[in-house]
Amino acid sequence: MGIQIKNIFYTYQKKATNATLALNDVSFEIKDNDFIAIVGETGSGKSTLAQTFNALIIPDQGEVVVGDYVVNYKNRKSRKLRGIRQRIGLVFQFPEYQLFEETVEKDVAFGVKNFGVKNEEALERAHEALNKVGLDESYYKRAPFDLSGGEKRKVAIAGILAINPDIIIFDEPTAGFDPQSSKDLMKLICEFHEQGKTIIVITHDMDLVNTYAQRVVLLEMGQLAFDGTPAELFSFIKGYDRLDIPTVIKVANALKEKGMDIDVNQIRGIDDLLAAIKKWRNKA
Amino acid sequence: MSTMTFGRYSFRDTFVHRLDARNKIFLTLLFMVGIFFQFNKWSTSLILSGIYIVVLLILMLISRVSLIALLKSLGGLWVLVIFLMAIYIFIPTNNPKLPVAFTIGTLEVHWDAICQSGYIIMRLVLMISLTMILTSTTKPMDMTYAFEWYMTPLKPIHFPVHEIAMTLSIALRFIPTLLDETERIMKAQASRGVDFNHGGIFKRFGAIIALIIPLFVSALERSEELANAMIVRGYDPKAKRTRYRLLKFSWRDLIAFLFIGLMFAGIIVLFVFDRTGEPIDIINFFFKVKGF
Repeated sequence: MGIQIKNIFYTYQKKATNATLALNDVSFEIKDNDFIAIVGETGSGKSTLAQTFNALIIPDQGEVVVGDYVVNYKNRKSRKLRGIRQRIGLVFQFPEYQLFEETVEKDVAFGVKNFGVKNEEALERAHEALNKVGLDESYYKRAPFDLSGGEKRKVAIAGILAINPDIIIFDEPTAGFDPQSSKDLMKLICEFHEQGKTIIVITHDMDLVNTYAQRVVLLEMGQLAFDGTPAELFSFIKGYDRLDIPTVIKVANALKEKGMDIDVNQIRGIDDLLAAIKKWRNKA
Repeated sequence: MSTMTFGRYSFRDTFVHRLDARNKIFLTLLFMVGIFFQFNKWSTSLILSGIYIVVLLILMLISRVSLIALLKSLGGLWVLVIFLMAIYIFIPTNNPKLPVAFTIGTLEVHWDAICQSGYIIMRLVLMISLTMILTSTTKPMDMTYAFEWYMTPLKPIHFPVHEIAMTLSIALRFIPTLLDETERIMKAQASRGVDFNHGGIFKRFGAIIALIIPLFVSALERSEELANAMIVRGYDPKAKRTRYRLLKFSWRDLIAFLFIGLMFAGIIVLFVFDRTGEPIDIINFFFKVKGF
């Protein structure tokens, strides 16, 4: 399932004197089974944009179309809009703070039950989701508050996964994680993508964008500044101070300048760079 | 969450805003005590009520507190109003002076009861308005300093004055933070299909639990972090501390003090006359209207 974003505007604190235009005429399309990254500085409107996708924020003007659902100001109070959250799952930043049930399995099943699935089936789906994120049977009956930070986040992600949405949005999924945990989590997200789900990742981490995203959208002061592949983005943001080009790309660019025969657009991570250098050496 | 604007401090540079918080609290209390004096002569009560309302309106005008905002916030008070009305109407009046308004079965309801309940409600509204003026013109931090100042006499008996003031100011500081947190958690749970706006009482109760528990957990975690951060920076409640902001009693405070003080003195004088033998009938006293 895809999302069409058509000319949306959103303002925070409309009546106040310090009203800020968070989204200013944003429109683009997200295709089915896309892996898209939304990047931008703090306060550029990334999270606001993501929240319009599942109707947590209703745009003041314009509309977001997801399958049969139309999110716009006119039908903002419609009960039907709740159904959109069954199709689009949003994993917030630090999702571990939303856990509240006594056991892990109950917490994961909570979301499923909210959408009208009976208790046993909900638990079954919860177990399935927990296995997918790599938490086995021994975790089912444990209290979520006793788990480590990484495990809590996995439980929270399982809570969204169990609802079985077609599109999953991750807001800064790796924030506060060590490199290995980040890698594991991103691998997991890639697996969801391979299973046919559309993935939207909001992030600051350009390495992550480079390695995983098929497409990147750059927001700037609530406006769409760029839409294209990661490689195109990195040549686009060369003059920016606040957005950093990944180190691997910088190294690859430097090597190319020194005369090494390297296709920078193909470098998606450190392994690609190493392979390219090896290839060049073998040739020489 | 942004709808909770009632009585919240809003910065304006007015006479009332510049008053010393300690003075403001004292004068507000004085005014409230004045409002709650009970007079035998109903004409005295009537005139004084008029004066209170005028003074209050002038105060609101000076401090630029919006009357509309006040009236809006009073909308939630109707349950209390009905409750008070019911109490006054169903409890028989002693020696009524006014005729019967209506009868319910054998119970005769006199106009006295209705007037009495109206009078009480008016005084309640006055009280709330006064509190609102106080809170929307005084910085919460200044308010806690003022409370600390008032409690200083309790220090020799080892009453934890400073600790209470610190707790208060931390609590006030974290209200906006917790509101943000509430909004965040509500959104996160809404993504999991919780509907906070629709559904029956049981469903809503479940929704509230999904909000309250994570909120408590995060508040507790936050408080632990804050306590650690304070200890690390050498906080000691017993130590003598200096202040960044000092409360000062200025000429403005003197003016406000004299004004409210004179008003209170006037009320006391009237009250004394009212209780001893010949009460002053102010309407006749000032306007010489015979037989009123």
